[in-house]
Amino acid sequence: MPKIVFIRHGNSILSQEKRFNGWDDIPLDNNAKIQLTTLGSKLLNDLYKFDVLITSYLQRSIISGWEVIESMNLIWIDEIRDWRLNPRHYGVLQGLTLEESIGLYGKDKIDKIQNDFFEKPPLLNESDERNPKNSYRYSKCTDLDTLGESIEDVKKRIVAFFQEICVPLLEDDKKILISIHEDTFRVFMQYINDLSPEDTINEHIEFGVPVVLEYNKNTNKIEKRLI
Amino acid sequence: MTYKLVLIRHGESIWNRLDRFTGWSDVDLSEQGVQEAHNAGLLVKEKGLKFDIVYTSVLKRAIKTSQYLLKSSEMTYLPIVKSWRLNERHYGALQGRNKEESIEEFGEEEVKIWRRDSIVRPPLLSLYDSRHPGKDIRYKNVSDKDLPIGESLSDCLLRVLPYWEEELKPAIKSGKKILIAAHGNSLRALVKNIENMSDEKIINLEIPTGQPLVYELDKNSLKVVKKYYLKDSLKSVQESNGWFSFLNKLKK
Repeated sequence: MPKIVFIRHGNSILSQEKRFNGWDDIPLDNNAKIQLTTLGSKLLNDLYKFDVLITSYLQRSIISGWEVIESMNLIWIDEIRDWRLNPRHYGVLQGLTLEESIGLYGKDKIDKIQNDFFEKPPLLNESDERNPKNSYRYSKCTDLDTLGESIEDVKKRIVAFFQEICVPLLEDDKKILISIHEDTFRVFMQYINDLSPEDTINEHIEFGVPVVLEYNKNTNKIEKRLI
Repeated sequence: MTYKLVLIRHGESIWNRLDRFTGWSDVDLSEQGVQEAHNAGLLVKEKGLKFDIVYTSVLKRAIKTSQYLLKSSEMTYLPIVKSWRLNERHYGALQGRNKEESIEEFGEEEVKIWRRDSIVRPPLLSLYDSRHPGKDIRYKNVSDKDLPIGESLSDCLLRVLPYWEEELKPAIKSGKKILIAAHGNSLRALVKNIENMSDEKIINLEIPTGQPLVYELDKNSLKVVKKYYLKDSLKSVQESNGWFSFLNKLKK
């Protein structure tokens, strides 16, 4: 049966303060490899034979995926990279600490940016090096044009990703492994659960606890369970 | 104007050490092999080389060579395409045996011929052999008639050819900068096509492991304009030209 299994990427090198580090390419910490191998064995015991690995454009997602498929003896499966799985882009806040951001824009504004579905962060200048268009990494992503995203913007790209990439694979009876970031996962689940922007999203993904989405023919619904 | 194409042969595997026929056996890199791939990535980064896409086989030692190279060159985000057609030559029933055992079983002369003659096949695998590729799920989408059970060098060259014509060449022509991480014999097949080499010449060609080999190809004819190992090249033009690099040198 076709399915999607999400794993949250391993821990990145910890920063002391809370930081808007979404698109920074932070490496995994030293324990991650062992933890990911254990995670792979867990999936292997449950006989998950994946056909394809999908990751974001960030190394903590990619390398986590690599470690897991290798430990499952599936290093040879197809891989897809998609920038639309990247975390939310926080515009000018990208790379700043929470404290610095509040200092610059005030607590109310920062709260609103973090929680309001439609609120965009202060946008980058076109020439800012944090503008993805100015980096080699995203130079081939013709559909990428952002200077800072609201949650609504993230949802739009997640929906497009799901329709263009996941649906054809699921229709082709494929089992998909997605190595994902926490915030993108929440938006993904908001979409899958058909929630409106006002609903609270009570969805989390913890490292080491993969989330499985399966289509149930009887209920005509996508059902979620944890491994 | 030219297109750039880079080939790399995977680093040392565990069985290289034990002098075993490896072929399609899925053997991991040795510590040294990992180091070779890591260093190749550092070299790529130092020389300022960029790629758009990576091609590799479905065997662990080549895939992991790509991964280590991409990690140390900070390009893990590149798409990786894996194909069985870039696999090593299939060594049939010799796979897993070391060279000594094979000589004992089949005789020195035979083993020498299997290694050095381009059209002689090794002893083939039987359908019931656990090493038969049909028993491995990674080949489930490959049709039975295409799956080898023991290849001569020339079988291997012919097997790689469609991939060169249908996948790699069009990618190069579309302007993509490609990296291919593969095996001694599948790389021979590519070099044969790139350089238009004869079979006699190709059998004597040894590509060193872990050394990025750069080809610059003419945009119209795809003929080789330049061929060099990355370690021997100058820094990329952007970095080596002009006042900035001159000033940087003075700073040091």
